Amino acid sequence: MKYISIVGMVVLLAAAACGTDGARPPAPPVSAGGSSEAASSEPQAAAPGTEKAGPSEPTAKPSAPVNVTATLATGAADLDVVFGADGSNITIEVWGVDGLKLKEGASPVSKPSVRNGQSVKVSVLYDAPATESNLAIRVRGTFQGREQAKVQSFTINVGNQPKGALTGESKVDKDGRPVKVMKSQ
Amino acid sequence: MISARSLVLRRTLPFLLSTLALGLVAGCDDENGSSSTNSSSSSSSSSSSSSGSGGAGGQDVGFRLSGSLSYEYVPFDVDLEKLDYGKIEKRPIRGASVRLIDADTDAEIAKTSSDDEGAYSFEYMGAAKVKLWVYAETEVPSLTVEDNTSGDAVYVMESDTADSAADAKLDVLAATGWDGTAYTKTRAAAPFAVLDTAYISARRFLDEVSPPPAFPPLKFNWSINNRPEEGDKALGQIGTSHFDGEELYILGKEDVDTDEFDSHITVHEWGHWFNKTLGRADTIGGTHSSSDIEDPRVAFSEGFCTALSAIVLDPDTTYTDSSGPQQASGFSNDVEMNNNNVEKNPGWFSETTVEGVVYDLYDGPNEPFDQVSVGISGIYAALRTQKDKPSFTTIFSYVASLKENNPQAAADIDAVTSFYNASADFGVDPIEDEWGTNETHSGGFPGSLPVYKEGVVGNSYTVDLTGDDESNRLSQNVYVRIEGDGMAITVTSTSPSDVDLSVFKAGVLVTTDGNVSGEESVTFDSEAGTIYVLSVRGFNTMPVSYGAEITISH
Repeated sequence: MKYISIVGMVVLLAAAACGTDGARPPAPPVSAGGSSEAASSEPQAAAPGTEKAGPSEPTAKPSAPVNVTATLATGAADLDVVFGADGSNITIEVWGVDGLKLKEGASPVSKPSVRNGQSVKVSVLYDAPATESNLAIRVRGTFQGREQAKVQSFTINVGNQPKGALTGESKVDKDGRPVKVMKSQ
Repeated sequence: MISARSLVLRRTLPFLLSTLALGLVAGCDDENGSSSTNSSSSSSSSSSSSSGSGGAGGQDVGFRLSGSLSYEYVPFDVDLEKLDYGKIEKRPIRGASVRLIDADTDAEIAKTSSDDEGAYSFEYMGAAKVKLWVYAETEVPSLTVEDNTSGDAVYVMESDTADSAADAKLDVLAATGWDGTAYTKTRAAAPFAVLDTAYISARRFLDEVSPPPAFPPLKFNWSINNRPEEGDKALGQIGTSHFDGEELYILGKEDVDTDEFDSHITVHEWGHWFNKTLGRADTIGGTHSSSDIEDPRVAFSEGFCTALSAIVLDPDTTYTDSSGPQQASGFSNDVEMNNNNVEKNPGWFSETTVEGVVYDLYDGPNEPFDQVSVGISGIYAALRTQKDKPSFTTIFSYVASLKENNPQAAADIDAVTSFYNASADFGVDPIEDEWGTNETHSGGFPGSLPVYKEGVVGNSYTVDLTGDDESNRLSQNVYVRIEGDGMAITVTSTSPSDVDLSVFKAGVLVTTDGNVSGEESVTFDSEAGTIYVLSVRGFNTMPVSYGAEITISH
């Protein structure tokens, strides 16, 4: 099996709000595999040169206050779920899409309650096809009395997408515009 | 509170409608499931019509083709919390651009738009066989749904071929592509579902506000590849459904997270565009959840947009979000179900409070504390009034604008906001003005009060911040109001943590310093008598208190 990145292991920092494109606030200064609870509580200035948010960022749909960091290696993923608020009735589910099959770690992880800043780690083993597939994670729970969820996905073999017939046929219309033609059913 | 009776109706009505709709679909389909040939049409007599000629090989006699356009909509089951493919509804494709194509040559003969019943008609000559191209695009307002993973191609649904006749009928259905367990056919319904939700949203304002808003063109990006992953949008890695400041992106990845049938999400994101385009959006964006104690610009923007989803889709006030394998999971929250429990962190910094306030200001006087109803026109008018305020767009400037427009309802408006007073730290005092003057609820961060600090040239101030993983929280943002004196004004900061300084004039960025340190400096030429707002934004990620020394000088 081959590694997902050239280096052999890549840490994909999934943006919590999903809707931010580009610059992000500096990541919490946590060590690899550690939790934010273990980090220093002294005021920290971001490292010079670190990208951060500008005056405004894109909006995003409401989601559970959760950050998911994935460390992906060949056939394995270590997911670090960090909660941004106290919560209860937490369920963490991981599943494969587009042919990716979980060999280990498919059972949902439940937590009666979590604390703000708490980290929950989930490790999975999987078989991925040669074509593009996805590892998805959903964190669901009740936060400050309201049920919320957060879904994130991580692409395996990105760009190697199988050609399907579900997207319609690409054409150009009378006005010269590209159109995606779908047959009515 | 709404009654149990109305809840039952809300949950039962879609079933009744879908049952009726499925009956209609069944009546239109042929043996192959196609809805395209000579079905008995339910076309409205007010259908849009167009004429044209063309096509080789046909006869020079008058032909007419008419019919209805519809798409399948999958409702959300709020009890089982999933998309319910067993109750698919057939909805009209409204206001869409329709082109008549010569089936033999692919030449375009004529074009028109469907009406609000989804009906269309063409009168033409020449072509012996024709077909339709139905664009996921409307003209009034100008809305387009494109595939961001395929060169921004506009989605078009092509009908089957029809023989030309004196009065031919051709109904066209955009189906979901769902086979009972998965999407195995083209998901033609999805882009039309996104389009229709946006069209409904815009029409509410076009039809109920006078003068109607002038909507500029807007593009939606939807794709079966759009998934919740950061990366290249051209590959579908859009992060989540969002408004990027110009266009909207909607999730569509099957078995992961699809939003095309989560109408409230589409309206919510459309609301961000609406807010920015016709009102003013000072939000700094970023991550947010319903219980967060947010920068009040973020809280207002997110809360207003969620309220707008309930307003536009009224009486469907339940915000829903489906996800997971077979879209069989999700959650829902009823915007009309007010909750002022202190555990929800209610206040002027809460998007949940804002959504509850705005929706109750809109709807009828149906709760003991809610005796005000300004309707959709009142909601819009306040947005327009708020646009010109020198303060930021927060619940303070919005409610102050609403009171300004409806002075007779001021006491009732106060009753709505006061409902959320849960404790000394959490709630909203009666809103006196756009600046939040005399607000006493700090959200647990004493440095947040007063909402706007008074900044005078020649003085220095220490602002108190508290770190958080996110920089768009109340604890990481402090506002300072500065009156211009006609001279250049310099503001500097000194802090052990990274902070940014930004100066705004009525929401427009005048100058900013966002270097990665606590030492910032901005200078701007001030206009005498003009009020500027300085934003001090912190980026410390640890939950500790820290300060920033702010000096204002010439």
